[in-house]
Amino acid sequence: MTMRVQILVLLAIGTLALSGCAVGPEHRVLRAAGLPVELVEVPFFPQEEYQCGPAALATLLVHSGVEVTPEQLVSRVYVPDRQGSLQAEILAATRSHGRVPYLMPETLAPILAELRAGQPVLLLQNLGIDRWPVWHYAVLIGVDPAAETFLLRSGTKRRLESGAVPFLASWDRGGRWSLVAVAASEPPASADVLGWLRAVAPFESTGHLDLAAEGYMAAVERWPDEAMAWTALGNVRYLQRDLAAAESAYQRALELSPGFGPACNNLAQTLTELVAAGERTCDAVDACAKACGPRP
Amino acid sequence: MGIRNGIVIAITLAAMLVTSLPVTAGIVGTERMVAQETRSHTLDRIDVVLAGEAVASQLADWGVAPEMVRERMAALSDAELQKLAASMETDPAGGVLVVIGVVFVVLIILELVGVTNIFRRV
Repeated sequence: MTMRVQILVLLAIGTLALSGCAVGPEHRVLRAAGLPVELVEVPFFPQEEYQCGPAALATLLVHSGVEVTPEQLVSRVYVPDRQGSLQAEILAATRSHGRVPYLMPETLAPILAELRAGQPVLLLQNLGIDRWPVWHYAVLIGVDPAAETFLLRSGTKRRLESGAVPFLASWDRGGRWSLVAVAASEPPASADVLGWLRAVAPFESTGHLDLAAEGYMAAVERWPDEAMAWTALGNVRYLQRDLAAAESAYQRALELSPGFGPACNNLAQTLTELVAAGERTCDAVDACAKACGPRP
Repeated sequence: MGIRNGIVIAITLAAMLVTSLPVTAGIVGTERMVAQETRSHTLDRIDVVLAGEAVASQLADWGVAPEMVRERMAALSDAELQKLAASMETDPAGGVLVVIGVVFVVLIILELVGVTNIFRRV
């Protein structure tokens, strides 16, 4: 065999192996997940025709304390032409109701961790096949590892029990897209600092600075040793024109991670403005430039 | 040739000037910072796999220098890098075909960074 033929054969075998057990590892995670959990208090909104997006999102928002009905969400997230909702609109609608949409990693373990922490998870399923997809949004509210079932608020079913294999496969075909909606002051139990900042940052970019500040305050509380969290807090203080608070947040970031680029750059900018306002001397700017070294 | 060298020097000088000027156009926003950090985390994750003994020796067997792979990775978009990192972390072997797993990972790397056509010359 030439090397090229060998490679083609290996590729074919690899592809078969991949397609055969794409959710195999997740199935093992489920079996090892311990006691069953069910969030019985999660509300239920039976969907109207095709409107699983608004219904699922309302379920999450109401659970997190927002007063809203699926009908109020229809105009925001329902796209009549497509008879469904787009993921980007679900994210935007969550933000416009003052909640942080935190996108979950594409693995099962953190999703189970959220359930255990009392957090329902909205997820996208493909109930069809790759070639003829049938998209559906549902809310995961429980799991029974021993029975290998997942519990969903789904469509017109208040408590849908779905077998592990079809459920995991539909989630996998849906691109493993799932999210939780939380208050800006409460990062999800399974969150990591980068994911949380990514989830909160759009509030900063769109000028919802109070919510951004709340989210970043929660970040430095949860991850006090992360320079990125302090830099983000500095950014929102800068935009709120609280330059002294921005300065100290950037300085904290640089203590934790000397030379951290964004903090260096933004501290220099903040100090320049403080000098211009006569609130700092040029020494402060020089000291900052020295601490950060030459710009890359 | 002289003109071309001159242009290269001019562009290099211009690039150095631009990058060494102090930034005065405001701050680096959090969205941009997170995107940059995500990219460098992804590169780190890929680097760990590339440096792994089995993957490195498979690359060497096929005459592909890891430096070349890294160079090409620098040209990938954030989304392509994410895809590469994600496909490397799934376990295609499923615990059965360990050797094919390594080969498969290497093939994914080569496919995504666009060096698979190297084999057409073999």
